[in-house]
Amino acid sequence: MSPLPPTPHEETIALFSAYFEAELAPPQLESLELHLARCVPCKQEYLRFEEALALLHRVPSLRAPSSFTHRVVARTHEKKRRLRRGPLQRLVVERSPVEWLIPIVLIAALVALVVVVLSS
Amino acid sequence: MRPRASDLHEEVPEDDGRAAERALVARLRAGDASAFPELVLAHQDRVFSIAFRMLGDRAEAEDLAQEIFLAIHRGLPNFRGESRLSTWIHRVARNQTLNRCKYLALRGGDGRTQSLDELPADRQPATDAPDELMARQEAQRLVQDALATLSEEHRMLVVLRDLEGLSYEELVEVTQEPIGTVKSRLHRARLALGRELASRRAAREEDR
Repeated sequence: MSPLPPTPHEETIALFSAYFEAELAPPQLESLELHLARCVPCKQEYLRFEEALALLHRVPSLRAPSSFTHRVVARTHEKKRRLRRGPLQRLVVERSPVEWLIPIVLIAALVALVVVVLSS
Repeated sequence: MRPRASDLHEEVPEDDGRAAERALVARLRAGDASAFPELVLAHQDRVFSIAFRMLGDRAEAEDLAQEIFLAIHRGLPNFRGESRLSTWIHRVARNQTLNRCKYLALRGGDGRTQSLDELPADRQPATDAPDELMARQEAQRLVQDALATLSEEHRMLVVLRDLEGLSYEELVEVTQEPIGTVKSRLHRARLALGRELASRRAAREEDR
């Protein structure tokens, strides 16, 4: 089943962005303005649309937090430093001592156990 | 009424802007250490604005904006200069932001609550008039809350076009979508936003 053709109201609403941005050709412009002059719901819909865009355009742009550039540059330097580090150096510098000490202690204990078992 | 694209691009004449961008890209490629901080400084407000408008949370937006610049830093060797540097930066910002939105949605929080006094500073000149400041903050809050009701793709288009002032040509390059798709999606987003803002205003009037 083919979809129903758009109603004159739907056709009008579909042109709001182009109308707001003054992109309509004269015949379309004329027919849209004629419809808006006669159709209260479409006129109200357009006023809501126009008011929303006017509000958006009035909202001031935001400012990045202070020292933002400094923090970004510091992060790029930190990344470069990390890439230059070898795997062992990365393990020691980037992990907490507990993270790398525990496996070392466990391995040492295991080796000691094996030595004790083999020697007895 | 034209969006603010013209306002933003009027600060520097188009040709001068492009020439300055090309010179900056050449310095970045040559390894000039002062070029990247210059790039960040030139684009940080717009990138942070996009991040905040999309996420609605200042700390999350700052973290995302930093990640966007790290992605730009990583991607600079692959920037071929086919589009303007500012357009490419917007493309990276859009993609990183949509990825962050997906991640936050998976994590189960959208982080879009923000009390009025936590709104970031805007770029308007400081005012001593409390009424004017309150009106500005109220408008910011109203817009922020209404934007949060749109889907991420729709919100992004409204932010890029109606808040950051990108042209349709730039939107096509940033989104990599055909012009017809961009225009119809943006139109639907604006209609939804208009209805949302109207109902929020009506609710406020009733409360008063």
